[in-house]
Amino acid sequence: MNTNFLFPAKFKTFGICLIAVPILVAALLKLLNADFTVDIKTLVKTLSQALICLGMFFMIYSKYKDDDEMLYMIRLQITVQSLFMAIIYLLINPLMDFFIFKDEINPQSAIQIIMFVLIYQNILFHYKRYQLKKELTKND
Amino acid sequence: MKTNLLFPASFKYISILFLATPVFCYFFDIMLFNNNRFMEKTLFEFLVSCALFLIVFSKYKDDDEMLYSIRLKTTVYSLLIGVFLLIGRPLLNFILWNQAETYESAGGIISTVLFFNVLFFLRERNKLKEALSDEELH
Repeated sequence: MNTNFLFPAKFKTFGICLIAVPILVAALLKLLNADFTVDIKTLVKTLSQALICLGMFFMIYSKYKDDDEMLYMIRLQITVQSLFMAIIYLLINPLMDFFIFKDEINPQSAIQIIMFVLIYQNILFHYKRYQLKKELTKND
Repeated sequence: MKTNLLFPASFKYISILFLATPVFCYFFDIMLFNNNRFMEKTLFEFLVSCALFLIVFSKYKDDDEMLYSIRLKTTVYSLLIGVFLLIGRPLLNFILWNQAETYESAGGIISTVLFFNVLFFLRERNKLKEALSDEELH
């Protein structure tokens, strides 16, 4: 299987940094009671969320030392599942607002859905990888 | 290799139906949900996203390990485009138009990601087919 489209292993560390930096910056700004305009606050919030998404993306799609065909299939499987879930979520959420809660329909933002996809992928990928590892060590 | 994660080949025809429905409603001015434009837009985005998803993730008669790899590769690239859009759009809006709030809908980003996925997938599949037919000729 062609595997050179995955990012190098060091991108995993970069991904973790991308997740940690916005959280640390937000905590620091809160501690310092920094006073910014609403515009800057909105921009920083949007960019932080997008950077966290990029970090999560690198955490899944960079190479692992135990990468094999099975792990590629797991990646493909969870990608298909998560995209499918995102599409279903796209319809279910406004339908529930409309028919069940009889509420005003709130539009979903792009960051919200991409974050949902990437969190789902991360949780499942690491869980399945752990299970695979456990099974392999049991067999050994 | 486990291959049951893909949808049956017949789902490709359903995708054509899904793509045709919004076009049909638009041209014949058919209103759904009592003129609720938001619900209509959400439904159409859902149908288009479903159609694009089924084009890539339903079985093809020439499906093999290579095509699975292509699927994963194109999905990775298209997701990366989606994430870069999330970063680039607000930055550009702020730098060029001094606009801090950038609203992008969930349906819009999912359709964009899936649209790029279909484009990349069809291109890569064609390249693979050409390479295989070239090999057969020589």
